Amino acid sequence: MIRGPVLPQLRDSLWSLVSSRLDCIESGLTLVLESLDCSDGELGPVEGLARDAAGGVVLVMLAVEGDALLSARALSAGRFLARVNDSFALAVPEGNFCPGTPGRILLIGTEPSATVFGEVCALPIPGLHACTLEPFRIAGRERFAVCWIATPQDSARFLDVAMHARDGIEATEVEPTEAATSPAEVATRALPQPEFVVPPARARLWEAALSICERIDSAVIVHGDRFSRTISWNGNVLGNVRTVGGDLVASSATGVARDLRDLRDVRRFGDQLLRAFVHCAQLDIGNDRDSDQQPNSVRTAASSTSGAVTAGNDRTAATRHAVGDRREPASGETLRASLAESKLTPEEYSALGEPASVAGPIIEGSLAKDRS
Amino acid sequence: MELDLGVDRPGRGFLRRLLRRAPPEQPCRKEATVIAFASGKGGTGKSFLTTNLAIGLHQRGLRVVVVDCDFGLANAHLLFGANPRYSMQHLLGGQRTIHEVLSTTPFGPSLVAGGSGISSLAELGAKHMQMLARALSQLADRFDVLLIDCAAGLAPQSMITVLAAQHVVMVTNPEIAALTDAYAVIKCLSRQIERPTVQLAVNRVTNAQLGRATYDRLSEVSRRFASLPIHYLGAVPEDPAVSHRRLGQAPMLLGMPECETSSALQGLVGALEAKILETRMFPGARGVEARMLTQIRRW
Repeated sequence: MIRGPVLPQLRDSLWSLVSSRLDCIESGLTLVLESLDCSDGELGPVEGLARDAAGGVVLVMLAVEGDALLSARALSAGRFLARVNDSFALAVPEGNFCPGTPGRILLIGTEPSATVFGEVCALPIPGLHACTLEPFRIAGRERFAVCWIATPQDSARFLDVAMHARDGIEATEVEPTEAATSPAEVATRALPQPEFVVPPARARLWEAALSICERIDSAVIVHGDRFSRTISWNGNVLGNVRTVGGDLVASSATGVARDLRDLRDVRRFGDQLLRAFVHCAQLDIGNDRDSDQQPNSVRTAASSTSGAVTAGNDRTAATRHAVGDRREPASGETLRASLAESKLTPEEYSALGEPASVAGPIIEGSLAKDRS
Repeated sequence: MELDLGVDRPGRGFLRRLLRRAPPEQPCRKEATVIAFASGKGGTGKSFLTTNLAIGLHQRGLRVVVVDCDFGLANAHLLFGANPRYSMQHLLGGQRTIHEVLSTTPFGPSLVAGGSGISSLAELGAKHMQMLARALSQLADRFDVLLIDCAAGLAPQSMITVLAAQHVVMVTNPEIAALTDAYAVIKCLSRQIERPTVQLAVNRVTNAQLGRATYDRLSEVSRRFASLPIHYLGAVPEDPAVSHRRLGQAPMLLGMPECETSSALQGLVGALEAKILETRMFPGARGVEARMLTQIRRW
């Protein structure tokens, strides 16, 4: 019998799975406390109180099949949040919340809970954000994909598709009604994503960074969750920008990470993105030495690019792959850090220290055996 | 220093500008081939090999200079039988220029002696390393081959001098302690973007096979764990005559040219000469000063 991957539906088991991986659902989301009762015990507790990357309060709720009180609890949580949002910073100091940052309710659902989930999403609850977890099994382990449902239309569509699936109709992806004009648009339509929250003081910088991304290539897409954006080109990650507190932290595939504080930082980040793109697209094809010197992330990306790869480059990529490069990206590393990383591991000691290396004529036979 | 690629400027075509701005693959000015002699453990025979190979390369018609960068514990001048008036201490102290510090040894190669027993030289700062980079650049303009006798170990100053070279001759013994220390240096090199090629010289081997077997083991470990290929330069046999030589005696290659050790040294000289010729045919885009300054900035 083939067992399909199924997320646990009991509230406790689902919560134990989700609470330990909140950061997988949204960058920077951390659990502060569990079981928050905001309805005088009448409707049951909200599963968790969390802090997002901007320091805002997030009430995490689970939608479980058959939970008749979920809608009422969500409405109650919404009202509670509106009343006491700014007071959380003082009332729950361990949360390290940032006063003035609007609070949110994060509703997490699964396909079996589609009915109650859809009902809650249709309610006019301010600050409600909803996502569903799509479980799958890979390499013997269960993982889940996060699908964000941002608008009432989206939630209605989800409800519709889920209901059809329950009735035995195969759920297929809804075709876009208009012809796509660019890959970015396709990506945006296929992957509904929450709006990127940028600290107000950094909004201009993010716009400048986006403008650079748009001009690198039309196939560059920017995607991610509420506090993180990944910049990629044809499946190769070029860089990443995250909101951390009141700052924007950018890291590129070339291994350089920096705070974006002014336009000069954005320009430098753009330089790194371009370098990563040039290597991924193999536009620096004549400069073998330089390409050998690129960090692994870029090299791996370059070797996986499928477009304009010549036979010779295929061979190079295959050789690199066969070598099993295990080095860390070194471009941003200081010399002292390199020296600190040079400490030998037990495996290396073991490989060097076998008697064959110091023995006499026996060495040859022993080494030949090792090599075979 | 990062290049301004003009990505913040409006309009199309900045990618074209980027590609146009890429430095053309032109050889830099005729500069000496820089070879560093390094080891993880002390006492493996770096200075012995440096001096003898310098003499061998000089005999083959190359203009050779040895720079003793074993800061504070230098002894290449003793092996050359020279007594230079000025040393690295005067150069880095700003008292003498590189041309004043440069001396000629009785056996042909020129020498920049390092200071011996001077503790301040063991703690050089970035400013001193920049002065050294400039001095090496000046030497590289005047000579064909620049041999750097580096300090043992993984001190940043030592590593900067190693990374300034185009080739590094890793000198080791077949002992496990020397092997593991040599591998630590190789591992550190493997993490660098711009790094020299690694040539392994095994000193004090008791039989001909031991050198190759030592290389095989180190090469396999280096390839497997550090993904860095190393090349075999050769081996020098254990010879009591080496340690019994006294001050004032000529280096092995000249004093006992017929012995087995000298034959092995000549083999190393030949292999190294081939590397030098290869490097002169395909020089890199950056000179020794630029390579060294890059490392000093990363310090």
